[in-house]
Amino acid sequence: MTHVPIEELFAQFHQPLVRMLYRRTGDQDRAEDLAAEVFARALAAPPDNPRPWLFAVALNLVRDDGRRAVRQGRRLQLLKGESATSAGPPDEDFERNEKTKAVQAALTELRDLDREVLLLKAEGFDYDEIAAATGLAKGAIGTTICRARKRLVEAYRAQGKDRHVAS
Amino acid sequence: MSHLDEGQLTSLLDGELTASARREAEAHLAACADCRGLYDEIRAYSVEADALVTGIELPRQPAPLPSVQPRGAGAVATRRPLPWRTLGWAATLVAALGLGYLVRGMDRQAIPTDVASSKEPGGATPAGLDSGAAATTGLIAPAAPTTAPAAGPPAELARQNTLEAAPRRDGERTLQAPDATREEMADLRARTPTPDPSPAPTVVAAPPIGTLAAADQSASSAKSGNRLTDMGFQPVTMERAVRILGGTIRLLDGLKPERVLTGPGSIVPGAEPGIPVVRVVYEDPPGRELWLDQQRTQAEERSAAGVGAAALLPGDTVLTVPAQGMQSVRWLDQHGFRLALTGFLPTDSLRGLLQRVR
Repeated sequence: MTHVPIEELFAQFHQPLVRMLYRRTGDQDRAEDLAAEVFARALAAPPDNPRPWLFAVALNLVRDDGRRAVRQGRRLQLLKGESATSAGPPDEDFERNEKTKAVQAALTELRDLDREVLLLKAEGFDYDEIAAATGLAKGAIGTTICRARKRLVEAYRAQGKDRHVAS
Repeated sequence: MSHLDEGQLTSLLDGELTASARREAEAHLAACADCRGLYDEIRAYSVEADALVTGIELPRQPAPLPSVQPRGAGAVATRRPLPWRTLGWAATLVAALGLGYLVRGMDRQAIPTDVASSKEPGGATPAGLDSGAAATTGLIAPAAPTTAPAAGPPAELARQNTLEAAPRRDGERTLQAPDATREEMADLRARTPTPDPSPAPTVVAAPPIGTLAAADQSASSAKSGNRLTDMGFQPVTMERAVRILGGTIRLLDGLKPERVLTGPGSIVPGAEPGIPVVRVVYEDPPGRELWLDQQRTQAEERSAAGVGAAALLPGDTVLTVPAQGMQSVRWLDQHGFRLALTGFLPTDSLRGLLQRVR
């Protein structure tokens, strides 16, 4: 079987991969590092079915990375200061950053599986691809996504309530 | 038609139903107010959740790797600083992979026929496994537990072939049950065939799975009523399986067990011969069997060295190819349970499933 050249894979999937990893980690530098590692692995062992493969490896790496972080006692930054690169007015940036932080915090509260199906769905994966990337049975994807969506929305709303109570 | 469940409604919403299933679901929705209500609720959550996730955008464009920038794109107007961090990662990985291949070559020289070549398609690492190392990992057959020295060459060899990351441990699901009594364990051991006392080589070519002489059959034969799994095993209730394992059992999250079996450790590669093994049988999406074998090790075996039947240490995972078309991943978890996930799935999928073991 012929494999897609790494340059093509990179051109096609690098940005979506970094975006997904950023949504997951809240740290773009870390997301780019992890994406580079994913492509280094793809270079060493070219995948037959690249899209699910790349994203599955990325999710696995970020999961391991999180475990290492916990072991080392460091905290993942939810949102690194990016104001130097932002183009919008400060108020808009602040609002967007706050919302991003809240969504990422809500995502953090989900189970790995719930979070992963949502992140993959947001990247346009269909159920077959989600099944391939997560190892779930295709028949279970609909239910998993349904519950994950509900949990995310509820966790996000709960964050809003906490913010209001705090302020 | 019975009511639609949330999975069906979500599949309908996401456009994942077949044409006929969609027509059927839509016809039901038109006639059933309850399902329509649930559908509207699911759709509202769907819209909001998807908007939340897709609303997280990258703060800046990711920097491309210099090596994959398009050629002939003309002179770059402004010089972009090299992403040293990214390059460092890539260089480290390439060096590590090169070292892995060297080590593999050394292994082959030392023990010529033990490590069979088994290039893995894709080599994905959803279970936290290093794909480079996985690509160099072939068959590692069970080593003799009682004769293998704790830090001898076979153990070292197995360490070289084991992969660093362990399956996920967080959120382990356990079914509570009274601890197995010593009498019960003794009874099970008494019914377990005694292994051949002659010393076995510590690393040998992998035998077929247990007594499954026909284990090299295709996946289709496994589904055609010939339950390979059951040979040498006996069905047990989940409660009894939990008792055999000392009060906990590992399951695959999101999959429904088809049946639970137990059999002597002597018929399962990598297992301790004198201790019963519990096999939880699942079906993969194409309907082929998928086995999650588990065996409780004795406290005294969980020594500091931790060398068991397969010279595994907690956190190690070993990929084997027990029979044609099958893949098996074995590991020793932090609680001293020997586990193996075996099926006809591609390596990528099997490794992905490792994440679901709770």
